[in-house]
Amino acid sequence: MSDWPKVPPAYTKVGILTTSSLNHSPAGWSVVLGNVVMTTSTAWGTADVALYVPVYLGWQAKVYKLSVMNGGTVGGNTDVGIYNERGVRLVSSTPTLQSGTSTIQTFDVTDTLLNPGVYYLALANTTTTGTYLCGTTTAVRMRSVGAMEQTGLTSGTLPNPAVFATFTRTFVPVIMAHYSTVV
Amino acid sequence: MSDFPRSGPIPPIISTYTQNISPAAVLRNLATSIGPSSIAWVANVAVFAPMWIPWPYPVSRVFWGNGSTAGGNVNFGIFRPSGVRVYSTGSTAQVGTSNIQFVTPTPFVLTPGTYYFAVVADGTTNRLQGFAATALQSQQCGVFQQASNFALADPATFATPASTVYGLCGVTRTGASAPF
Repeated sequence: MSDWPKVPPAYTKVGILTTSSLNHSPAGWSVVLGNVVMTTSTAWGTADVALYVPVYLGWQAKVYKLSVMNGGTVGGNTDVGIYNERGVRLVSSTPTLQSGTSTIQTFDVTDTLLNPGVYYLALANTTTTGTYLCGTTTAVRMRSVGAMEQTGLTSGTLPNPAVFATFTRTFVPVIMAHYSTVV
Repeated sequence: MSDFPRSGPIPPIISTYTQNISPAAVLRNLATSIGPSSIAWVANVAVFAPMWIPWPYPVSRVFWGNGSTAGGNVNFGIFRPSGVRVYSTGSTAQVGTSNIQFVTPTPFVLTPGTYYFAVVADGTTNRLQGFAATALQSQQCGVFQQASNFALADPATFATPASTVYGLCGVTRTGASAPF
């Protein structure tokens, strides 16, 4: 019997796992449908809020690093992480000074094996002014793809477990998980 | 036994805008932006969007996107290619504007295959979230319509699209604990 699947699996392990992917990320897909790009420097707007953006992984993969794209102004601390569908935090950077404008900021995290499934890439900041490269969207669009949020974090720390709440923002940030130690 | 997965994970939420399983990619290729945004509806025109569902999908909730004006009624349904209705919410009063509105049915499972997700409003101005697709664009996506069909009749009588409406609607496998 063939080792090849009868139906090619979706959500393949190509490149990196990122909210800007058209393959893995319904949010990234939604942004494209709205004809915008995820390169707009956007202020976080609310201190100590976490955004949870769903991504789908069809293959087993190990994550070595996490990244965000900083915008034109940095501020406060960034915490970036991965959650499973039940809201369990699998790995995170812990709050770290946001550093470097208009560039990628990468966080070396505990090597984490992900099985095929639904995950949330999460991002939090302790200020209103720190900026990230985002796609401009609407709350309705993000709700319709399953994005969620959580306000009132303690010192910007991504909580464990997450307490998912309805998404109210009009932007979606680029959050990346790397299958390689080289970024 | 194969070392390869037979399919990817089952998304918590799928809609007429979901990649790979809805006509959204084609529609986006035919228009610069397809939203979804608040759009005018044509009263009582049911729009049927073709969906390919590759997994057994357990439906816990169904939904549509309300536009910036509420006050009317909406009906959401799921049909087979033969026109046979699998499910419909029935007439449901709109609650909330510019938001997703959920209805919780008795849970059921969609077996893998082709379906049509249907949505219809009995109002017009800014009633739903979606895209004002031209008839030609809808035709190129395999979308059907049926006029004067607020009840989402069983069976449906699929007809060539004539009205510029394409609605955001879908299903979730999650309950209210996932507050999308």
